[in-house]
Amino acid sequence: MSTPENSPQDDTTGRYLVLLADDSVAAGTRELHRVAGIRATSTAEAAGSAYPGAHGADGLVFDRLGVAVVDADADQAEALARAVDEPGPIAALEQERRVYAISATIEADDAAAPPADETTYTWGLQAVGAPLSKATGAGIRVAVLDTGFDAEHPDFAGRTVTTSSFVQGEDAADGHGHGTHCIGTATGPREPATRPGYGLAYQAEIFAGKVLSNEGSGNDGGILAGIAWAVSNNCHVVSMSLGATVRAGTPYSTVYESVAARALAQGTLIVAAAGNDSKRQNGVIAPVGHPANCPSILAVGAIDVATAVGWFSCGTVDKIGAVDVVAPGVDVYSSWPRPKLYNKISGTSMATPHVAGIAALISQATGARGWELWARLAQSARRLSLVSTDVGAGLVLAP
Amino acid sequence: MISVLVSVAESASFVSVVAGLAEAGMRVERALPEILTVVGRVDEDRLGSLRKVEGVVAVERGGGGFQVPHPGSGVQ
Repeated sequence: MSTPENSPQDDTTGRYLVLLADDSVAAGTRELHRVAGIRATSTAEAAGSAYPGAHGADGLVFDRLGVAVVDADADQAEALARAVDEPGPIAALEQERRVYAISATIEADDAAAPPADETTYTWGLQAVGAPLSKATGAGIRVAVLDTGFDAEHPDFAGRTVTTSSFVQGEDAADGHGHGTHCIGTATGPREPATRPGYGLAYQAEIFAGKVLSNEGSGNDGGILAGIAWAVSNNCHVVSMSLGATVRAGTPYSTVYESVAARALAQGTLIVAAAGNDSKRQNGVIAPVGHPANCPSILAVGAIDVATAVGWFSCGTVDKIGAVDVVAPGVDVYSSWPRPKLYNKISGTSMATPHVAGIAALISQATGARGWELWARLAQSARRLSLVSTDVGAGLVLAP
Repeated sequence: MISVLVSVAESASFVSVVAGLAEAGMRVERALPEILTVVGRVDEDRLGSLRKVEGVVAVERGGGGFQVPHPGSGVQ
């Protein structure tokens, strides 16, 4: 264990927290005095005081928690640190931190943040730390179920792409643009001919399943067929930037939940857009849509470049659907069918492939699939100073 | 007829359940053994009979539409 600094830092108080071993609180209190000369009194004796110094003591022991808060000079802190490394009732030592009330609004500095410099990479790639990651997505299969894909897009020349259409009367070509945009974010290039780089898992195998028509519409049969196709192709991740509006309190689909749970059990993680039905500027937060409201489907909300929740992004408003994580979803630059080639648009649809791409990178880096991959995504997410009903575990990060 | 989604038990014979659903009046449009799901249509008054087919876990109405906005929309 490193020796703690005794001088208070900006976010510390100058006091220390001492963790006492289980069932050894009394012995730990005596040990504080023996090794460091610290006289600590128990909360019972201090009649509820929260601060060391009560009743002339150097510290306060929270008996039921097994934790002491103590004033200690540099020599005493050194002695306590040594005691941690030795057998005995003092288990851990750390500086006491200052804590603040969590704000539901963004910090003033963030709100005033200038537009991101997208000369080299999109703001989304920068926000999730992709440029610093060594993972590429190589060997990982990512399925994007959407409006299809412009497989002749020059940025994807030489890539391994498998396409299939589940829309009657239409091939897998993207006559809309939504699908090509989502595929670009999840699996597009990091170094395209025309910058900025916009793709996360830029060496992943692409499975473009067309489940939404060129008009942007689809139905359960096509979407479920697309999921079955992805599962049968052993895809690690399925990205679904689609959904249907639900009313608060509407039960989630038992069928989709069964499908998602079975997919997870077979190593396929399904991520889906939480939905764009909120009007947060008017104080309206809409519930997570179908099928993202299923417990076994990872629901994705959107944030902007200032780390504020997208005004349209659905939130957790009932006990049915919950936002699990968030990702960049405002003014997202990515690929678009020829001849336009690129477009910048917003929505939880744009946040979802960010998560799918990150999931692919994590899967490559760790070998995780299914529920383990879900857990790693959530555990590695950056906590945000926003309410969890809007952002879940936080902003997904590249490994 | 209404659109219907059926979830099949892992322990059941998928082929047998699909046959049973057809016998119960379901017009099967997609049988998806990879995810143990059957999609199709049925007369509304026969929904209950689908639930009685051995190996069926859940039956629910499908046909919920999915729609992404026009490509020119700023929010997708």
